[in-house]
Amino acid sequence: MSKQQQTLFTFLFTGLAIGWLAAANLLAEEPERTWTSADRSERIQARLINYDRQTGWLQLRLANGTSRSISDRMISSGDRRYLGSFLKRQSAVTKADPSGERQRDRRASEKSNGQVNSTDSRYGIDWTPRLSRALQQATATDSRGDDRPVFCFRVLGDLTGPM
Amino acid sequence: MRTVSFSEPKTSRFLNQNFVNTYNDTTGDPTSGQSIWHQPGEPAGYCIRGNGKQNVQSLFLTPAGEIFHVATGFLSPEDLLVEAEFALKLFEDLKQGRKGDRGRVIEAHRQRLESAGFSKTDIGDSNPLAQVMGQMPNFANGNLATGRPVNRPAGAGQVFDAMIRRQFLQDQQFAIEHPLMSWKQLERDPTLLVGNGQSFFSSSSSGSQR
Repeated sequence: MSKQQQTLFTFLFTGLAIGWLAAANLLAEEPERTWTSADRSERIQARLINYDRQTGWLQLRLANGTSRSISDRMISSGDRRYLGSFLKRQSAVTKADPSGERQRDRRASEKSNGQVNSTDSRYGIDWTPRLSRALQQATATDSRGDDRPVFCFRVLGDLTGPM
Repeated sequence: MRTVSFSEPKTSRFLNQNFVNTYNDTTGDPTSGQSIWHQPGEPAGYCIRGNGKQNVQSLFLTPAGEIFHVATGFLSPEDLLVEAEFALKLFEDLKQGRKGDRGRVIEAHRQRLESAGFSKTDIGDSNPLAQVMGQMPNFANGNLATGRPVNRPAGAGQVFDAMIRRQFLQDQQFAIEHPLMSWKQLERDPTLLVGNGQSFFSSSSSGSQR
């Protein structure tokens, strides 16, 4: 390998490493922090797992490992600013990693076509869309016969929107 | 229920660990009643167990799609947890026995009603008196299945108790009369569970949700 090729290789490798580190940093877990209720009467230590700007619900992971879903209307203004910075960071990840966005688009497309067994976490519950798919998931796939029961919430309205 | 019962960590953890959870929007179903629409972030109003029976139903099914337990109407986090615990125990019993054992479903629900203080006459499938509000035995203020205290509006005890008891009885009777009913059959005719009356449900609050 010529010296020119070695230099080119070094530049290329360094650039890829920096890009990977930057993306990994952006994708890292959110830190545990104190969340305060809008009336400042309650405080909890938790890590932000997800925030859905459309529905206004955020999912928090508490220190004891349990998750809790709350509305962004119930948190302090400082916490809402934190959510704003979280959304900006997410947007930056998407720009830095367009292939990740394509992957997410593909997953969403597969989901709508019923090709994968995905769950959707809302209000603290991991929901499997459609009862027929939940029944499939509950059926044991191994010889141990480890079937699970299905809980179906039959409800007037869209669980993810107005109801 | 989504803003109060599902969001309670103890209840959601139990459901996530032990069940495959799903939901079914009944909009357009003539038996599904009516309600005032609420946004997900709106504060939850006060409800007692069984409110909005035609709007919400909690079904527990085997992987084969057989309904082995139901609870209709609103359930508090504590009530939902109690129903899920009962359902899980019954499901484990069903797994131990022979496939499609309807007798176990009937017996489990009969025993549950007897433990809650209902007489054999009340439980009987064709007892018209059991359907009449206020004809039930007098229960202590508490969860029917566990005896644990529950929150009710002050002074509302007896009226609400009678309604809750009637609905609790009807839910268990559904499982006794239709043990391991296919969910497809229920979707074809939900009146078997919710009746064919017309209802309207609303709740409101000026407080904050959990």
